[in-house]
Amino acid sequence: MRNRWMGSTMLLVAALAFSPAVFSQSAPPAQPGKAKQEIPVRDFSGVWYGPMELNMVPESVAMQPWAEAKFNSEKTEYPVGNRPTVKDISNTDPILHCDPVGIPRIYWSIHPFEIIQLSGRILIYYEEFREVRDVWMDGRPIPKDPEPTWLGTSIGHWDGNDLVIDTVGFNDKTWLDSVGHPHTQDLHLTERFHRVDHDTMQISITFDDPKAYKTSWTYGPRTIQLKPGWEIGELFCTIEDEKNFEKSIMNPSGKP
Amino acid sequence: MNSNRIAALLVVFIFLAISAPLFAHHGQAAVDLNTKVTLKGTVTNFEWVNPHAHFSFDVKDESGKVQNWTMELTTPLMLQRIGWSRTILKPGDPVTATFYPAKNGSPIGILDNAVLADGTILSRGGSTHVGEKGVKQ
Repeated sequence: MRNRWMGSTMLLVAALAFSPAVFSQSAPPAQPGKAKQEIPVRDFSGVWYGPMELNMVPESVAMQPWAEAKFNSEKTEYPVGNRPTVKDISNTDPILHCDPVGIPRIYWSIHPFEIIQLSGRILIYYEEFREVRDVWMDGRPIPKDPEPTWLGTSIGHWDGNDLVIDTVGFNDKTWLDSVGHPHTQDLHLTERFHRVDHDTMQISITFDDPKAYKTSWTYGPRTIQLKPGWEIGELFCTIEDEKNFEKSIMNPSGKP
Repeated sequence: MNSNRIAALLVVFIFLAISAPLFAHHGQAAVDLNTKVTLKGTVTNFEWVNPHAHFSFDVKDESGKVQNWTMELTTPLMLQRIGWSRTILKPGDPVTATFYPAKNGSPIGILDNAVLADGTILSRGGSTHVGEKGVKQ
């Protein structure tokens, strides 16, 4: 087990992944003999749940020297390699002061996301920090010189029945993942959403950022479950909440 | 424990081992996840807040000295999905909390489960009741 903190959330994950019946909001259990639900075609509408990993960069992927130096200088509570972990305000994680979590790091969240399909556009609405993303499906090209933004500019298309999303135009302020892998404004992500059955899809993410990483790579596929009956709730990040949490929990337990 | 049960637990374990180490949006208290402590006391405070809800309870030791402990939970949104509510704990409620304690000895921990007066078990992983041989999942 690669992360010692995992234990505290094991039961949560197990319950959410395996025990839909424990939730009052969940869909009724399938009735014996009832026909299997058909896979919606080119329709990923719904609330989905299936957290990914803290670290999305395999060891086989070499960083450019500046990126490796930056990565090694980051301080987080999450163990990776030999880098020491921290539990105090020396933590350099940008989300601790409520920066947007960003793409694709947000897929690590223990919170669900909703896909909302509109005409010419798909919204991906992540519960974590209430981040909403536009995926343009109106045939526009991937922009050549996009304005850098937190969530980038996302252009989607259908490949068969898979939804493929290209995203460019990120700023370089977010981390790729929770252990602090950096990226540049040249990052190009390609997400592929593949529906396996009515309640299941797989997401693969291809990373291409040659100024930071010597090769491109694909993370996944990770399995994500449809959660009928779940609704996205309000989860803003506020500085006041963060400060109160530091004061009441993090610092008292983390001081030497 | 019969073999089916062991097999089922193995499946869960394997899933967890290959699955993400999962947290809310940032780290919990610096606790010792190799140690579990159980204490019985009286709820003094329940904070239904982001990023992590928490509750405090008074524990009296054998000499009569009272210490106030604080238990860290996950986000209210995820807690609601597993049976908690913002009114489920009130000051004065008896509670038995099992938790992973802070490494530095501060009276703080990450909750594993809390048993209420009526036998309800609230955990980070769901709400259930005590069966004939412990927790019925």
